Amino acid sequence: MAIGPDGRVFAAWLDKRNVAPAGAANRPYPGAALAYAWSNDGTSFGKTSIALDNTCECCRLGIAFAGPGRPVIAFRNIFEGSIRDHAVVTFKDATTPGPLRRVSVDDWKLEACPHHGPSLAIAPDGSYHVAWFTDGKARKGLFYARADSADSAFGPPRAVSSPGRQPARPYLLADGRALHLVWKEFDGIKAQGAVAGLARRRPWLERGANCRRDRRRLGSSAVGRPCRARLSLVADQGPGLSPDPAGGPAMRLSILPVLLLSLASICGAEAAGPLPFERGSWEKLRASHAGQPTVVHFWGLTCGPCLVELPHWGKLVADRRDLKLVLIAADPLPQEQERVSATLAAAGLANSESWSFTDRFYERLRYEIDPAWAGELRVP
Amino acid sequence: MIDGDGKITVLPGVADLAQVRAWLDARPKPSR
Repeated sequence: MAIGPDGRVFAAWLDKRNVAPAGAANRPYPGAALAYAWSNDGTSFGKTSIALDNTCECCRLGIAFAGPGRPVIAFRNIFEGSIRDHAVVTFKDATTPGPLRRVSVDDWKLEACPHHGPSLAIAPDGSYHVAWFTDGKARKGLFYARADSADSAFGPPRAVSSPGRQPARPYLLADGRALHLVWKEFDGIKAQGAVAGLARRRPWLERGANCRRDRRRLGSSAVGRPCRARLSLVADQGPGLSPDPAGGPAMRLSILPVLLLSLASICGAEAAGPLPFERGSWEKLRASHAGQPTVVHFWGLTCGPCLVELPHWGKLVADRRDLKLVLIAADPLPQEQERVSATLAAAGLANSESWSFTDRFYERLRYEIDPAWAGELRVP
Repeated sequence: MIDGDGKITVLPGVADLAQVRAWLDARPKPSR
């Protein structure tokens, strides 16, 4: 959701309304639709419309404005061959989406949910700026690209940080003459918010190293002189960036306390609810299955393909008594344990060993399982 | 898929369950 230059509120979201009709007509319908609506008064929205079909169904959207009543949406599209790369649509007017413009050809083929959305900013000179994560064949990691105008092609992607630092969750902010980029990194021990200011005319960015803080110190305020925007970080989301209303050179960092829950015994594997998957759980799980061939299936409530796939796992479990299946719900969101249990039960998996991410420092959980796993479902 | 000796085979995206069945067939059956 975003407020346009004319004060109207624009909302865009991923919408599954076209899935059922396609199924009824025996037509494949990968992904979701990109839907939108306007609010003129900020209290109610008008009719909802579909801008286009077959977008990735779980990745965050980026919204900016090319002018009053002309929203621009950056999103992960599903291209031919289940390639989940990014694209931008610029509205010609409030209700006419323009053509799809591909940001880059990363060639990330994945029939699952990447769980990484792009960020978009449009500078006062009309240039477009997009940052995104990919694990494609052509490139892997966090990238930035710019286009000179609404009609021009995007330039070559430029790497942000290095893949080994698990850069993710980028946010861009065009604030007058400045362009800010912030993202998260995780080195296996601590998460960091990293900040860079992008020079418009120069080929690449300058990293604001003094804006970085150890995760454990994010609770205290910090000041980074080169940064002229407010930055907020929370433990279970990526960083968010907004213009500093005071216009001053202040940066404010805050972080919610990490939710630490007590470790549960893995002896309760046959219990009704999922076991809490926390730091150290992967080692415990591996130890409890040592010497036994085991299939570990990663899934999530926010992963559409996972939900379609689950009943097939249920049938396999029923057919193959020799299958030792472990299910791990790995959504990067606070888990709804009742929904996890109900979904597994509906798929015939109520009696399978089930775990669910509960530690909201989910980068660390993923790192323990596979340092190269960036959070997409299922695991690459 | 984790073998008894700890070797891991990863099936990315939506799994081909035929591959899982084949993997199971190739594993020693657990003793009861």
